[in-house]
Amino acid sequence: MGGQLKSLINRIGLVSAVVLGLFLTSILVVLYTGSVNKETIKSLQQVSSAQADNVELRQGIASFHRQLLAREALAGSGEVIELSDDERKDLAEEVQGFRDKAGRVRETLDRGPDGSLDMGPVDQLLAGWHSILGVARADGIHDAHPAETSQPPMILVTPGSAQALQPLVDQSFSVIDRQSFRLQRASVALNEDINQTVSRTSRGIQVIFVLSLIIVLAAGVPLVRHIRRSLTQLTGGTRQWRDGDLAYRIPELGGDELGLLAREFNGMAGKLEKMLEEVRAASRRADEANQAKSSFLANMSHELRTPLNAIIGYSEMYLEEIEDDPEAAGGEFKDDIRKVHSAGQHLLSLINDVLDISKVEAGKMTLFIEPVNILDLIGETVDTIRPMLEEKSNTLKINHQLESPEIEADVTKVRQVLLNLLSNACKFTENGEITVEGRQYHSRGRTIQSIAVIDTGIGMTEEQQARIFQAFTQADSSTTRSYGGTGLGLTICKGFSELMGGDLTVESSPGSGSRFTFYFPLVSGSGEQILQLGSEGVTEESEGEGIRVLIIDDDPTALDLTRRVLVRQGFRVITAQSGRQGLETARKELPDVIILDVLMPGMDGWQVMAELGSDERTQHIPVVMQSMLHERELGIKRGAADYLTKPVAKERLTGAVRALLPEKPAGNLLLVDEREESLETAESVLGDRQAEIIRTDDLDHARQLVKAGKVGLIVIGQHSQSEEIADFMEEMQCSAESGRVTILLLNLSDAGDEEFAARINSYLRRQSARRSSKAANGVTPKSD
Amino acid sequence: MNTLLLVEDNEMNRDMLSRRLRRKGFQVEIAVDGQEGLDMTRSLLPDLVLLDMSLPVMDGWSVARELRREEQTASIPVIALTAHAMQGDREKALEAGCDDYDIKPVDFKRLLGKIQALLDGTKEG
Repeated sequence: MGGQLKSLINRIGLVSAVVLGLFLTSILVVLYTGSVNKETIKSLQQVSSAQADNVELRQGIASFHRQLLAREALAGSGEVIELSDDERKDLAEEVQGFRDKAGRVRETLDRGPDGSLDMGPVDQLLAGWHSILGVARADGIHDAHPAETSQPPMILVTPGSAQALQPLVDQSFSVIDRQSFRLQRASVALNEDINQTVSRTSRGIQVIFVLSLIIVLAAGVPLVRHIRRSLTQLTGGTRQWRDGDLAYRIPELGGDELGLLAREFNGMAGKLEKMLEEVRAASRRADEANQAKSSFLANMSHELRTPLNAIIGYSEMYLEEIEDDPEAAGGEFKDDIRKVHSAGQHLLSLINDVLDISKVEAGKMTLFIEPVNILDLIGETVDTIRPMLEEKSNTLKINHQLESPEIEADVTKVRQVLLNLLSNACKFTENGEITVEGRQYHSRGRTIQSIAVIDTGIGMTEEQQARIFQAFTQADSSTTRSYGGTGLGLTICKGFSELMGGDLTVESSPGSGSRFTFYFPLVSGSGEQILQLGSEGVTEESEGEGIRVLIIDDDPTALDLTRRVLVRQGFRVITAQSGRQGLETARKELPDVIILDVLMPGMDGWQVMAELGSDERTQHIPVVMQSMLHERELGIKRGAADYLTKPVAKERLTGAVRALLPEKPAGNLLLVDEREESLETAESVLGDRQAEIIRTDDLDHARQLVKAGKVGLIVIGQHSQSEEIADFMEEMQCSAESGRVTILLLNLSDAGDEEFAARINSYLRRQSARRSSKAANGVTPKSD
Repeated sequence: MNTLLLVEDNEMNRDMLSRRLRRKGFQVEIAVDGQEGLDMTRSLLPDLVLLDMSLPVMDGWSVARELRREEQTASIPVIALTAHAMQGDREKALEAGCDDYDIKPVDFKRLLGKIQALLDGTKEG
């Protein structure tokens, strides 16, 4: 088996899983980056606020120091400055504020990369200021709230104490400035962090995207291409099968599901092909058996007739003699002889029926349509049946509703059906009434003639009705004994009515009589409508671009024989079973040769010949007439290319057809070349050989000529559309392989006249050699 | 008395038909193959020819065509007799120049009717 990766579904699944994994990874990356950045931004905010604190601290210290100096200066001038409690408290709070700010800055710096600085000078300064303000707390961290102590109003007694703190102030500034610098650096570092994280993330996502793209392209594109190719092959295969080529096999598609499907399809086609072959063989065997049966029956009945002829004839004769002279010798055997005679008659009708039924079943029965007055036909039939009618004391009535009694029908068969129905009615009715109803009506654009025979006799049960049309069946097998008959009559009638495109139906119930209705469509036109059971009028076979021969013959056996001979010789055969149909087919199909039977009902061969000759499209088509009659001179005089007397020998037939075909080999030369001078070259090379040179640069025209079989040799010279020429040559190659045409490719400008001449001459030599060997094998070439 | 020429190769049929026709008052001459039938028609010029179609030497269709071709025999009525009763035989016989046709085994009464009709026709004509 192909392994896991061979499976289409597994491959698609794997690719999807990988792409999905990459997608999830990218989501994780984005989430991680977000959380990292959040931390960094928080630090950045802290650094910024520490920066602000630092700046405020510096400004605060500067302004506080200036304030103290100013107060000292005032004190120096002898003025006593008293600080109220409130003022002192404010100042102390201000100092406390400085301390807080310094603390926050230190904390921030501690967390930063560089760590904090020694804040000693700032602490000392703040402690100094506390002591000045009388809040002597060396550590300076805790400020005793001045408001809580009830100290006397303070006097700055020691001028210069603030001044003394000047160096500390300066040192503090320097510390603060350095702190500011560190904070700046921390801020820059954090910003960089953020940028780096963001760029790393986006790069990661880009990588994932590109990776996905590569995977999808690398795995998906071949996959899609493979699927598309496989589906094309599969549909192509099914189309081939649909069109009947069951031998077609889908090429190997690989080990995946589609490959498996193709293999299964191939297996199925193989099975179908085999089954079809079996069915065909079976049907062929059945056909052959049926054919054998029919011809056996036909021969049999013919052979039986001859002795029967003597039995009936002699007994009849004897009876006549006895009637003429009752005293004649052997007169006492009159009744016995009558029995022999009637048994002979019965046997004859049986044989006739068997012959009819075998012909109907073998599809050998043809219709001969001629004009008839249906009322006369009914009257005539009733007259025939009258003795039977009177024998059983039946009365007869004829009703009719006819648009026109003048119709066209196969008189013999209509009469036979009618006679059969009437004699049945008489047989099964006593002291009753028999009605014949003739009607005409329209249905689906056709005129239908119906004739019903209605009796008041014994009738039939439904079960009996279902069986009466089957061969050798009567409503009851005991019927045969009491009523006689072969049991084939209704089967034949049904067959005849179906042959005419109609039907025979029955309505009946026991005790109340039966109604048989026989109907058939009336044929419009003038009697050339020939139908044959089980086959269509015009058939065409042996596909391909061969020589097309149209055979027109009303006799299906002769038609089939001629067709077989020609098909075996590789001709493409079209057949038509009447003159009118043949003429239409000839106009539509424009065959290469027509084989025309002379004796045909309706439009006969002479009429067809005249019509073909008067039509521009068909007058050039050679016609081979064939007939039982020896009227060769007449045929040739009326324009037949050949006249064969039936029965025609196979060799004579194919020889006659071949002789009429265009002389292809030395015949027409198709020059596919754009230049005028090529024609001159070709003409000079061919000289006075019987060849027509057709020069064309229109390739479609060239194709038509080749298809019509008008060309034996194609010479391809200079032509600008080299791609089209290549296509053309490829197409023509098929024709060349089947020997219909020969292709010579030469560039005239390069090759020159001499090579052109040499190659054409060698081709012509080969052709004439082939023809003479054909002639030696008994195929007559055209003798000009 | 009308003279009929019966061209028939089968001995029994010939015997039977000729006897029955003679009993009906015809003078019946016999030929046993197509060529003989043709020759006898030319020499005897009978009032009517009963012509079997499947004959040795020369078949009935050819005989009929020959008879029609020759001036002196062209007007002699010919009834074709065929055992085949195949579709198209009637048409072929009529095409060959026969005036009527009947199927074997013959329905003697019907045949008599046809003979009489043709003889009456020629008399009138």
